[in-house]
Amino acid sequence: MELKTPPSAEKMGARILEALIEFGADPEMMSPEATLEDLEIDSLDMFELAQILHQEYGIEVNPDDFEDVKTLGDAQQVLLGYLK
Amino acid sequence: MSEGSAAITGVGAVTPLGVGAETLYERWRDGVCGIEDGVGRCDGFDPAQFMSRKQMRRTERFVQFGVIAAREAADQAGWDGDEPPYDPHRVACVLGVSLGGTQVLFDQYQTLDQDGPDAVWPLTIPVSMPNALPAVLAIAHGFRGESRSIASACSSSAQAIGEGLRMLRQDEADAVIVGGAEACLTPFILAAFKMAGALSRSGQCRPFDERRDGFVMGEGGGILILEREDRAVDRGAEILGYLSGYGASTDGYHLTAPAEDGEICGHAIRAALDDAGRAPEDVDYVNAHGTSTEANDLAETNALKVALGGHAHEIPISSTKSVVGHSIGGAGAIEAIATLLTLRGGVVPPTVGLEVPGEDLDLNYVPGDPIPLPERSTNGGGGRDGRAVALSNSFAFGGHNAVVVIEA
Repeated sequence: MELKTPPSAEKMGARILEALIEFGADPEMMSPEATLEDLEIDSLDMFELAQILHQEYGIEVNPDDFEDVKTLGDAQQVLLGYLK
Repeated sequence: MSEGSAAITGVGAVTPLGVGAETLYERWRDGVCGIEDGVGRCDGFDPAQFMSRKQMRRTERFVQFGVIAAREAADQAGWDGDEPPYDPHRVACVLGVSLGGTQVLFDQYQTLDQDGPDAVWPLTIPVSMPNALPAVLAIAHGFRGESRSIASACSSSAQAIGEGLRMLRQDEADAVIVGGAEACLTPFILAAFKMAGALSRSGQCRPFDERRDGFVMGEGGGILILEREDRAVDRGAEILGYLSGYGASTDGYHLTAPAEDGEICGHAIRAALDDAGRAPEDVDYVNAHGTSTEANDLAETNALKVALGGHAHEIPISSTKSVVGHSIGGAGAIEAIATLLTLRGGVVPPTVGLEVPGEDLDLNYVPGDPIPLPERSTNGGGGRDGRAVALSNSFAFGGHNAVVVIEA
């Protein structure tokens, strides 16, 4: 398998926002405090996002890590944690 | 014997003639044909006018047709905010589809082939599954009763309508959203139908004409809101007409061809009339399956003679497919809506493209111009309280025959 270079946190954070907007989330509502429910982001979106992060950066997302995630900020924290 | 009728309180359609049930009827009545370059495509349909980006991403085209048609039907039924005016657990949904989300499946198979399994879109199954439409409608309209899809090729949505009638009669629901949708004008599916010998070689849809040479594939969707009559009356709904009977049969003869003698199809017609408590002489109009294939149009003519006897020669028979093509799983619902609106409009739209009837096709298939419904039906018909009575026929690959009786 091709080894992929991990992105910077800034780059990956931007890619996450871009993907969620592409999935249909309202760009104007994007803030760390916004809940995933308010943004109409559900588990199917998270599967798509996981696929993108895997395809583009080789990151393996574990769905169990999102059990307590409520807000966009929570989600970004978990996802950026994979860079450590 | 009739066990009661369902009140039809709302209808909606997306067809190659445009968005809207009245648009379908009025444009067909006026002889407008939605078939171009050998297909009946819903060219003017823009889901972005009706749906959010997220909804569009998560729905295949057949689901989009159904969502928009359902919204029109719910609006007409006076469902406040599109929510049913009943206990949500007493509202059901049965919809027809033949193939489902073929475009997504095909695209993702190519992705698998080119980029491997990890690249396959995670939403492939929920977006393409044949039951996607009832699932999406439950989210949109908030009903919580039984819902499912029926797949019986060209009879799918006629069977869904029949199933809705049964559910209301058995008091399993106060309202049932019925109908169906299909969107499979993809190169792969068109090629498959072509190679099965079903598609018109000329690209012309000419039901019952001596030059007919196969069906023209269409796409679209139709939704009807059926309600228990007593509940519809209680809430002051406008009742557009009644679904009074349903009959079905299976040829058991051939995977694709109908039995030419029409005996088994005719049995479905008689069963539908018996179910409605109507006699053959009560029928004022037939909305034919009328596919423009050599075999169907002859078998259907024979079936009408088997079921209606000499009365088959006395009434107008026309084919909606002559202007929209064959939308497979959506056809039965679109044609049931066209049938209802024909009775309400009092004018029978023509079988467009029919000039010279084929051999042994000797009924009145309404060539040329629209004609008024038989005077009797506008002056006291054989239906309930003097209403006109019509049949809508659907006969399918697989030999599934389904007939609904509509009164208005």
